[in-house]
Amino acid sequence: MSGERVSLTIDGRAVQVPPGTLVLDAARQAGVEIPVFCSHDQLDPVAVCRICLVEVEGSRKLVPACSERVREGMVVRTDTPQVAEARKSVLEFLLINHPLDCPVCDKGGECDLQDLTYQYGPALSRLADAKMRKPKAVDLGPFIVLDEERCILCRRCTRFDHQVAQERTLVVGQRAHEALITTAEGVPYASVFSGNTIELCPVGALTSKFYRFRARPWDLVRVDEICHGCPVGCHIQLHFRANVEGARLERVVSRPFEPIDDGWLCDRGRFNYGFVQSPERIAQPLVRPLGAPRGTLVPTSWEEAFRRVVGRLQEVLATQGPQGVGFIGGGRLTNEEAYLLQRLARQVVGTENVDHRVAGEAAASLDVAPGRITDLDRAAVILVVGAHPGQSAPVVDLRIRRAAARQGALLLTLGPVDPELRVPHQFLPAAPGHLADRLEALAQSLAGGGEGVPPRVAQELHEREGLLVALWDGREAAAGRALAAFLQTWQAQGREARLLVVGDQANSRGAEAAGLRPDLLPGYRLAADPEARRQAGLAPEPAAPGLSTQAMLEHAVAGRLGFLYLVGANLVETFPDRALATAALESEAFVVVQDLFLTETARLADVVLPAAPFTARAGHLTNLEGRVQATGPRSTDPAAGLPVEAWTDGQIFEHLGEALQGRPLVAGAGELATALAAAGLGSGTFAGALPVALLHEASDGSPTPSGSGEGLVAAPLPTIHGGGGTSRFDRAYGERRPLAAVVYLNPEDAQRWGVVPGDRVGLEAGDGVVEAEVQVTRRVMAGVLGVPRGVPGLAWNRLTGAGRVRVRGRLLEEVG
Amino acid sequence: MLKELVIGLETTLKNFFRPKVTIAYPEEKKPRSERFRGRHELRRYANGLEMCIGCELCQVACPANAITVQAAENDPANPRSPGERYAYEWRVDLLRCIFCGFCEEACPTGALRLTQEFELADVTRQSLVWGREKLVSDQRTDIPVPEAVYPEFRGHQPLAVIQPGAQGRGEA
Ligand code: SF4
Ligand code: SF4
Ligand code: SF4
Ligand code: SF4
Ligand code: FES
Repeated sequence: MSGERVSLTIDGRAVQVPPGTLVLDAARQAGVEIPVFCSHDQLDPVAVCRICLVEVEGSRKLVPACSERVREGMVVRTDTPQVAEARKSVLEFLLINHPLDCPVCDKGGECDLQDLTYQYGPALSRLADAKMRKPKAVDLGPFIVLDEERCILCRRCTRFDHQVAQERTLVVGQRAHEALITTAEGVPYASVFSGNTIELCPVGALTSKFYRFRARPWDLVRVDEICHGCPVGCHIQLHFRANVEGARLERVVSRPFEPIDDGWLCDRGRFNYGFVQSPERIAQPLVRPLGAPRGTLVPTSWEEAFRRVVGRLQEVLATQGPQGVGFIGGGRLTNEEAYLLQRLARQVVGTENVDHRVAGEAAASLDVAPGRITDLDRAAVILVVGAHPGQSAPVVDLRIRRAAARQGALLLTLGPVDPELRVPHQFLPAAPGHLADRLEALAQSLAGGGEGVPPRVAQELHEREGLLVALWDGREAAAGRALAAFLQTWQAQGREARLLVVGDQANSRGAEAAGLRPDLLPGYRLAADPEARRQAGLAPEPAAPGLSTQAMLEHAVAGRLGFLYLVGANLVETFPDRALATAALESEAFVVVQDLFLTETARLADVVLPAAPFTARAGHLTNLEGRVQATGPRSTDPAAGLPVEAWTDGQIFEHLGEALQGRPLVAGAGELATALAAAGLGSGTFAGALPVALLHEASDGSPTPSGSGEGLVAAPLPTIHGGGGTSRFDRAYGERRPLAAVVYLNPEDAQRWGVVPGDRVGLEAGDGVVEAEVQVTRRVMAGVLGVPRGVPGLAWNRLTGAGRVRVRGRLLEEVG
Repeated sequence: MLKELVIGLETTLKNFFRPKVTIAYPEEKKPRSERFRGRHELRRYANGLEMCIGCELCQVACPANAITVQAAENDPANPRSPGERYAYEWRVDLLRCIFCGFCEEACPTGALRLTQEFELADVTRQSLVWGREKLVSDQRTDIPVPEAVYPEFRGHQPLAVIQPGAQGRGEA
């Protein structure tokens, strides 16, 4: 930051700051502390609390430092008796109606009002009247309790809701003494970012329902972590209460890191932590007794479970060879664990059948114009292809909202269903399987042609100078290629372009870079490249080309794959073709599942190995922009209080490797770190990306219904609070965000099939009928059925796996 | 020699007629000062509600780490204490306690009091970890609930809903 500087003195200390700086920030730079309540780095100043009043020479009255900009030669004083008196008076006023119930307040001990009152405030109140009574414990939304009495009306919460989330649900109601925080129209404050207001609130007015009365700040042991909720990789801190039996995870708070999260978290990341200590965790290894039908599992010891796994693996290797063995999953592992898994598969077992893709996506990155999350801040155009950032990368969505609403970026969305973006944007409908066509048309429009592109969009795209950031969900290989071509066309016109790919799971990108793909070795080296194979210590030629997830499942059904190892992969729930996944699990193949919970997939396994949650492991994760981040020290498995004997995924791989080959998988942590650095996954670096040439349809598990015919094409929609594991088995969290089995229809289709919003309908899929409630919205293009993923009771992948879906009238008439 | 004998007897006789200081413990107990610090007690308000609000201040004040407090939300229909919060677990390890009285001093509601009781000997460790069931007094005091401090509240969530599995583990 070069350029002009403004000089001023604060309490006699000279500082030089860029013009436009707030006096508050200049004071910070000078090392002068000015107390604040309403001011916050990420929010526009409002200067409503007045605690930051300072004296400025030449000004008749005290001025608020949080909204006053610096001027050349300004002389600011914070250490005068007037300022001290002002602070004291402001605090006395704030405390007039404050209940001072610090002993029962969750914020007590980390409360700005408490701290500043001790530091600057009066010891006594002179007001003779009783304090005002306002509602306590108001149910503000699914996760938040509001205590109106404690609120000091700093408006940080409402400003966050307006300025950052762009939602405008929280408002200040009433006037003067009666003023209180409430929601517009009495709707619950159900934003996916609601939890941020808890941290923003300088007092204990907004508190978390989960953390309510669970601990005091001094009880907590704090561990820095990376959120495992989605591929954004926000920085979080885990707070354990260790001074009770077992170490209990009590809350998750943010750890501001501007390049990714700006200090914000989504409610999934903040509140979906109870699963780590859920009583439903698998407590010990389970096996299917010999001869028992699938679905029967009995507890056993780790030795016995490993004996079964190793014994059966050796049998299959002897009869079917390495091609008869397949490993699926890994998008939830750390980079280290993903590397160990691919090493176990390739080096020890000798198979190329490894794939981390469990949800039919084609890629988790793409080697064109690699972007960073912060690129969104200076984007002139944002193009969202297929992705639903609000659901699958929420904190990135905040940046998109900001760019579109406050920086005037042109926001385009392209896909079968318009993502729920809270800011003005233009939706370009594209049927499932035809995203590529739409993207090609867009590319042509850059050159002046382009059929079917709305003229206004074409013109804007033509005229906008500057950066284009595309966000793709990694589905449909053809769309990826077309998007790459579009970005290249944009770049060829001398404009900047960037691409972000939103992976399906938290560490999809790390798993991809670590070689958990049948066609790739670690570091994006081709599995067919003899030189790369030699360096990885593999035979120059693979015994057989590796199989993708889909192909492995097909081979298992056909009896050619006798051993299937699933790592944190609930295929029945996540794979787009439920029939195929179920058939493979029910086939003759020996199925090993490594998971935290007895999911519908784990129930069908032959051996279930209980894995430990993310808190029990150390390593690195790779976020959607490729940033390799340390996941913090291995803290604890909070289920320690429960009788759970879980191993981390990495420990399981290492044990299996040793049991199979008689020596460790890697010689030590040093070798592992070197191998990962060689794969481009060194700590603190940015990972490589998938070459466009490797985007094949064959690896793309999403079946595209062909032919026109009658019926709708199902388009899966990610669901932030959904999923088949961590959210479903987190009872408290699930209860607060109940997920409804709802499908979305375009009004035209609703009319054609004779349904009205709220109807329960039967959806005829290939293998029977799926029931759901219908909602009608223009967000869904005609001919498409929007089906949320990961909602209990809605088997979305029976609809996507089944060609066209027919709507079979109403099932039940709603009476009354 | 005779002289010594006489001096000795004199002492004996003098003491024989002095008032006795030995107490026939346990039949008889030595009087304790008003500020004597014996085992803990958690008191009740005049209306029977517990005075303890589960604030954990005694826990953090304790230099011996003897106290464990875990709080939960009162059920407004059937509250244990006035206001929103009560201690569902309150436990002191009397083997660790040094009877310093810091906890009593930290307590903002006056719930906690160190009583005159000092006969705490026992033969196991566990029996000297006292929980709520022994510590919460069954007597009411004549202290009225400070109504101005504890208003009505709503929005109750039972403990089991907030963290399933927590209740069984923590209850002492
Ligand atoms: S609820 Fe908290 S953040 Fe919101 S206005 Fe009141 S004190 Fe400020
Ligand atoms: S956006 Fe993703 S990484 Fe960030 S808090 Fe939410 S789930 Fe976690
Ligand atoms: S008397 Fe002292 S040592 Fe004993 S519990 Fe109270 S604070 Fe702790
Ligand atoms: S005894 Fe007193 S200090 Fe201890 S938790 Fe109860 S109210 Fe708080
Ligand atoms: S911090 Fe300046 S007025 Fe509130």
